[in-house]
Amino acid sequence: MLTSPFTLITMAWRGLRSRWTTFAATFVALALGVGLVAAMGQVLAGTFSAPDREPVRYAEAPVVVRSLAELRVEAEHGPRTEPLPGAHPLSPALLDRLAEAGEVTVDRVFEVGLPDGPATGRPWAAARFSGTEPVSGRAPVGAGEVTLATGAGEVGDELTVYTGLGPARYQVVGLAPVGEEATVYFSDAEAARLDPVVRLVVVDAAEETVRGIVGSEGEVFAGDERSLLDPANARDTEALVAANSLVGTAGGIAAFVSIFVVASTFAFAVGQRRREFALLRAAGATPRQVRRTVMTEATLLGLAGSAAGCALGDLGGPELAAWLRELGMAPPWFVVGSSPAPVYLAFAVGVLVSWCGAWAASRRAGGIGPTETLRETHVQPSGLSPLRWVFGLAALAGALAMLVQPLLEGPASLLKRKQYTPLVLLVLIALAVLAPVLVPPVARLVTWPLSRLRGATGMLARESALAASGRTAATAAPVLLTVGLAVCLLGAAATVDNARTEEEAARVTAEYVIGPGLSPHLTEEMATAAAGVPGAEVTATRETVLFDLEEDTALLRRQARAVDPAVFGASLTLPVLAGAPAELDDDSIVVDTEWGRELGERVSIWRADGSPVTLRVVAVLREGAGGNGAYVTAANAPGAELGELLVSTGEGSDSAVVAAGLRAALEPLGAESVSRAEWASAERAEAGGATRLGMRVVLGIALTYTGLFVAGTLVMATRDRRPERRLLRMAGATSRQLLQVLALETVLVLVVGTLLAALAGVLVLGGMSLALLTLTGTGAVVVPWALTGAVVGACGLVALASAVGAALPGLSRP
Amino acid sequence: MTNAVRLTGLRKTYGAGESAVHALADVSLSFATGGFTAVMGPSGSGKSTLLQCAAGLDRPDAGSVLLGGGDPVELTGLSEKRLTVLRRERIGFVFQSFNLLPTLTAEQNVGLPVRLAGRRVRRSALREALSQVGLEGRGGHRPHQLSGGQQQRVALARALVTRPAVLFADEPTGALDTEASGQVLRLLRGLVDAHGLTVIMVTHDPVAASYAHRVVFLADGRPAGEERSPSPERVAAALAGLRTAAVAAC
Repeated sequence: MLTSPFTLITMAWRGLRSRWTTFAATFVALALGVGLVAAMGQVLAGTFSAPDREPVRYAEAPVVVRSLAELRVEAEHGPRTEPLPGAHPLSPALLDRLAEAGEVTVDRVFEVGLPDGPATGRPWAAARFSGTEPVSGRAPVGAGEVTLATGAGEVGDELTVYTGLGPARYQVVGLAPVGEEATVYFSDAEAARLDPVVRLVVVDAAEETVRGIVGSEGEVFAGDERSLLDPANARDTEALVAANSLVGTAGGIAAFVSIFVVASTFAFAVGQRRREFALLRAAGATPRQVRRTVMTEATLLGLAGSAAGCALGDLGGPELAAWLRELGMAPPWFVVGSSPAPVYLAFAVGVLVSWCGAWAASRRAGGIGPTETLRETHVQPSGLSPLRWVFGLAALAGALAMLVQPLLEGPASLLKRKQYTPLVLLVLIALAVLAPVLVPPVARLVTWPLSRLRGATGMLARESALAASGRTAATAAPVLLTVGLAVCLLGAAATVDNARTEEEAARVTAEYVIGPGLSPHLTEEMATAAAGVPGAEVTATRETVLFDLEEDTALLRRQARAVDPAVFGASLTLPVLAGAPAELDDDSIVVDTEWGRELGERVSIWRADGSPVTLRVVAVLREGAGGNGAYVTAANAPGAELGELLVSTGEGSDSAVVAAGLRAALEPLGAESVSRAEWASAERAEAGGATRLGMRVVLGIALTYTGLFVAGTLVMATRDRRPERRLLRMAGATSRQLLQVLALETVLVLVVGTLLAALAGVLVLGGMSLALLTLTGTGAVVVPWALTGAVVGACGLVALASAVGAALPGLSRP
Repeated sequence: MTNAVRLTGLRKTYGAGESAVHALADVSLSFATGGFTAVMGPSGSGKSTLLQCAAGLDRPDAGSVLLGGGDPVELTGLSEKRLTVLRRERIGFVFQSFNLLPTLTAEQNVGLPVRLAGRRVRRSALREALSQVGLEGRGGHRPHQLSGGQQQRVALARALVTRPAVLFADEPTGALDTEASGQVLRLLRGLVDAHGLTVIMVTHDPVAASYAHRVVFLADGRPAGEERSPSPERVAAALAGLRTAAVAAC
């Protein structure tokens, strides 16, 4: 049977008008969802590229040459290269050849510590490349002179500068404008003493000539490329990576939540209108016509809502970017992307999702029989459509696979946000889709105490929740989503942070840990000074890397520590699975299980300077939550820098005396020693600080939206049950009793939703606990009770306010 | 004979000005205790409004509704809450659309008014109420599992469980077939004759009206005669007379 599009649109338009609450709720859900996606999309697009910057540090340098050191290994599919760590000099021969082409100026860039914070040290000769001139005083000439470009100090001041060689006094002879970063200019000779390795030179010659001379011995920067050498460039890149990761997660969650909310709201709205569709059917509409009415409505609403959402997103994107800048989660120059693509995409997603949500519902609507008009109100059939079974079970299977596969193959991946966030979302989808079959047993259990009550309220709430389990499931879904997101994501993040810091705290068993304090990093001088304290047994770990060719295909850069084997058991306690770390010598290595090596196996690897070596595995460690890495002796760690200085008290020495001695010895060097307990609590406080804030912002946005979803669903559900309240009124219920029943029903929905969310939490955090058990030997899970409680409480308030608010008009008259 | 309900000078107008509809225009009527009265009239004669005002479901614009019995109460001045409690305690209702709560079983529906009053429900009392209307063993069924006649009998059991002084019935057989109608009406008449219940029923069906002791006719919001010994034929004839008068008046 054919119907003119006009008739369909008029019918749909009348539908829109007559059910304004439902449509308003759907429209708002859609507009906000699309707005959220559009805003996140714009912000995400902004994280793809940093702004183009003019060169600063070498703005007036003709050509810059930087040393290049790589390890080159022949693998199965061709050569693999990795940059080598540490300071690698430009060869004297190359410098000579460059000098023939033009004037060569050596620049040295090194960290120094000042009493009011870290700064960069450089030779004065390089200052002119950024056009730096003294604004007062003069350039440093003598070894004890500096010119400050830090925004502080006066000419004539005496200043302690903490360098890699220890603290030294300098006289301020000049002041220069502070550029992009605080800089201390030394005389060229002093800078060469402090940082002797020549890694970077400026050559006054033509770019082509320099490139010809350098060949593959170094990297050449000319023109705009010189901006790559600016510290801002590295900072920008780093900030963008962090912002991209955060906004990526946020965008994923936002898209998921929007799709979920819009689809469920559409489905819910159609479900609430069974009677209307039955009337249409009774009036002679074919199922196909009913379906088309629903779809036409969805199209009208989808277009209007998505358009409104795009307008919202267009306004909201820059606001969101501003917020991220304010919170320090994006660099100060951060702006949204200029491309309109995210907005178009959000529009398309909005229309498509309204269609999909309405499509499933329209099939059900078409299947409504005309006889349903005869029923005053009706109990929604519980159980699932075959399509929903398939979808729900597929989501559940997917979630279980995402949970089990890492457990079997690499538990560490389960601790990564990129792995567990999709897992959480999938678990929540599965539970929400399967909710109609999960709700009856849960509701039966929860409401059992109500059946023992004498009054009508408990019975009414219980029977309504049980009989209309489909509706209970639909109204519990927003609560499940809100509470589930909070408990799973916050719990997962807290669990991972906790595991990592506990692991660190367990690894270090020394009594004191020395920190660099004012100095830019730990120095050999500090180690010597601490070792001079009577009764202090100092051990050092050094940071190095080892290169490992995995399965003859991938060249891996693995973190390792160089230690004296005597440290094991005294200052460091490692989670050993097999072997004895104390047997470590120059021909052996201790690895964690991530290396995939057996005890006694010989491994052929490359040291940090690129030299090959074959070592025997004398101990295998647990992989740990953050990776325990490998341990070698100093012989296999050329150029390694101090990582940790650990102090144990020797036998017969008084711990307090040693602590005082350490303090006295380290203070002149700017360093400090803290007790193990203080160190561990500082580590805990620091752990995931930024990520935690980021996750809270992400969740805050998502939860605000799902909170509205809770409100919208309850308003729709409550409004549409007016006939039921009328019946109750007829049966003699007072307004007060009606409100009590409503409140109790709402609380039941809240409890059911929270229990389903708890189920999701058990799945996700349980899986994580198993992963941690394999990795660290303890499966401790952190549940953020206070935050979860707050979210549940807020959900409850929103739900009660919406339900009561929706029921109040016309409540007092039968 | 005492009056279960006495209506004096009831007026009820919907709308205002030109479009005002006088649903009740000065109605005074008495309903005897232990009597079964049918209220009839053409569509728009105000019979449903009369019932709703008499039962305290709606408030008249003027006039008085006196509920008799041991402790006579004037309904028109009561607060909504007192009215609700009064309806729950002393008045029973049966409607065309049964008005059972879809989520509750038959037994739970019957026990609802008692629970709402905050009293304990004895299961034996519920079983008895259901068996009184011929529904033994159906207590666990939900409304949608019952036929129309059965649902209306559950509604009747629920209306009677508080032992009301008066039972109001608004087209109780309107949605039922002849056989189910007969069952429900015989049940009502039996309760009146055996237990001294007072029933006031609005209907448009002369056959249904013939089960009553007395039929009161309404036209244009006013009483228009009554029939003391109703048979379907006499009621139909009287009704036809009223319709002709209404058409002639136009």
